Amino acid sequence: MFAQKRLGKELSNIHKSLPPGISIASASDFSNWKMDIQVLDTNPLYADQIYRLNFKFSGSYPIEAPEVTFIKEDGRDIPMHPHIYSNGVICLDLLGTNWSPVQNVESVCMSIQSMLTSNTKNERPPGDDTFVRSGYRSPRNINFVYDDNTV
Amino acid sequence: MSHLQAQRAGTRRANSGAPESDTDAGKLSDSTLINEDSSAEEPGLLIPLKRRSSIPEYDEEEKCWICFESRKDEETSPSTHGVWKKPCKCALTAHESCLLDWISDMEKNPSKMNKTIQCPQCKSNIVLKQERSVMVDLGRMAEKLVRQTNSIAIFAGLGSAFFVTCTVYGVNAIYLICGTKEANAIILGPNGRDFEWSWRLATGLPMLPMVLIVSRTRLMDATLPILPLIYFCRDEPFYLTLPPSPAITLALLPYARALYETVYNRFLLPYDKKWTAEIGPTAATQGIEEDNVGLEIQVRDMDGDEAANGNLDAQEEPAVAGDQADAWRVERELVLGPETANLVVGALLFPGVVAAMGGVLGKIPFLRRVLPERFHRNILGGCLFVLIKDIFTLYYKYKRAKQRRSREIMNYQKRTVRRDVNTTATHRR
Repeated sequence: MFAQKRLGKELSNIHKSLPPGISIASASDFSNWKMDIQVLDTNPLYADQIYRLNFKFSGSYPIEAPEVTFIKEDGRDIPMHPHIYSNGVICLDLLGTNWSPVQNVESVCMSIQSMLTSNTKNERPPGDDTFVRSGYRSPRNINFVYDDNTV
Repeated sequence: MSHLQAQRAGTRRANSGAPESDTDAGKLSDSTLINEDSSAEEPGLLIPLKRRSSIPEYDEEEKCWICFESRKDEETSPSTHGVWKKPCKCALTAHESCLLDWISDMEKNPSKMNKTIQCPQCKSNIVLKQERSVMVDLGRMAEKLVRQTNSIAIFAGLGSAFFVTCTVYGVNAIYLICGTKEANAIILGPNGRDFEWSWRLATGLPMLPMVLIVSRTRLMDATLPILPLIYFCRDEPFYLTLPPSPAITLALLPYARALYETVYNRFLLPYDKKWTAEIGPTAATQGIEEDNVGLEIQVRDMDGDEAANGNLDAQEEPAVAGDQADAWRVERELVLGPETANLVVGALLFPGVVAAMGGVLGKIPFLRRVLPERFHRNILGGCLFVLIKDIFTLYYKYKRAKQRRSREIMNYQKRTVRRDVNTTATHRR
């Protein structure tokens, strides 16, 4: 109930206006949304690419953070980034320990967009192979160490 | 409570413009957020505050930063989220119950529990007024304490379990080696009646397994001869009998060991060294002959067994000065591996071996007559075991060295499989 009302508000705001490079792909219910994001400048790593973010909301959103991952769908790929695992899991403090209800779908998209824009390293996080093989799909169960303030 | 608050929100809307005191709100609910304004409510500021309240009290677009509902929405459908609060200096406003939900969620996370609650936007502290409860404070303190002491308790628990295990081992070892009668005298006192948990027992029994392990190395050579004197010689004066009393026997054992080592080093060590060197690879081929590494480990295992009487080091130390093959062996010894496990297990099993040897010796009528005490037969059995094992090990090494000398590589012949080469080579010996 709580989450639905808030997401309804967010959705109507999103339909009114969205920042450039961010668009809504699907939001048929209040538990799963898909957003498309695009890096606007000429960063060679992400030029002319559109990436798809999957938002999963629990019943206690926005008190609880949504689960946000990149997904491979409709030819969208997982962007190359030292904080994004090749299975789409994103290591971002905003989505974990530093989440607060003041964030919303739009602001999370913008944060991830700027995270991509400022990146210059064409690499995956260390230990990507073992992480992906371990099969963690839910970022909630992972204790990331947010040690890198450069990205 | 939320019902009550909803009502209050309704009244607030009805007579908008009438400023409400926050202390009033505090009385109504036991946990209430205090508006930042209230702290600045000084007499001098009363007039501007009043003036503000004369214009519409809030912006209709103002929304709760948690549930995103605006004041305007509440006019069409009544909210269940309680009164509006403005807990910090920035533009964020929120429903009281939304804020309280958010704070409760943060409290779920123990690491965040002790931090102050901050506005996510301006990072200023959000002040919470709540009923002071000694119970809750105590509970919270207890929770914190439990978290901190958990790890200590686990270590203490494991430590005491280890202590008990060592003590039980110590008691068993004493009964195995000394026999029931002498062991009773040692543990329960001379008459077996005046049992007293003395410091000798409290420290000596758990130390027994440790001492057994350490005695296989050179670490305690200096202290070992003194220990039995401390632990087994009670107040009674020394008296020499034949065979000597258990206390004297035990006290003499380290010296017997040192004597044995000297004799071994003088007469047998040169052969030991020579044969060991022959078995090991020569400097030129080290590391290439995989097969020999395997052999070497086996040889080391034998050495490990031998160390029951501390012989290991007697053999190893001169080896340092030996040729390169010897140096290679010493290096291997430093690696914690099967050798260490061997050393520990061998040391801990030693009392059992001693008791078994003593039992075998007890079957011989002559020895039974000369050594009527089980304890003395056990000690003799232990010494014999060490002696026999050393002789066997040395003989084994000699045979190995001989085998190594006889080795030659067969040239490749058609139809001969590699396995066959080995068997023929073995047959030839």
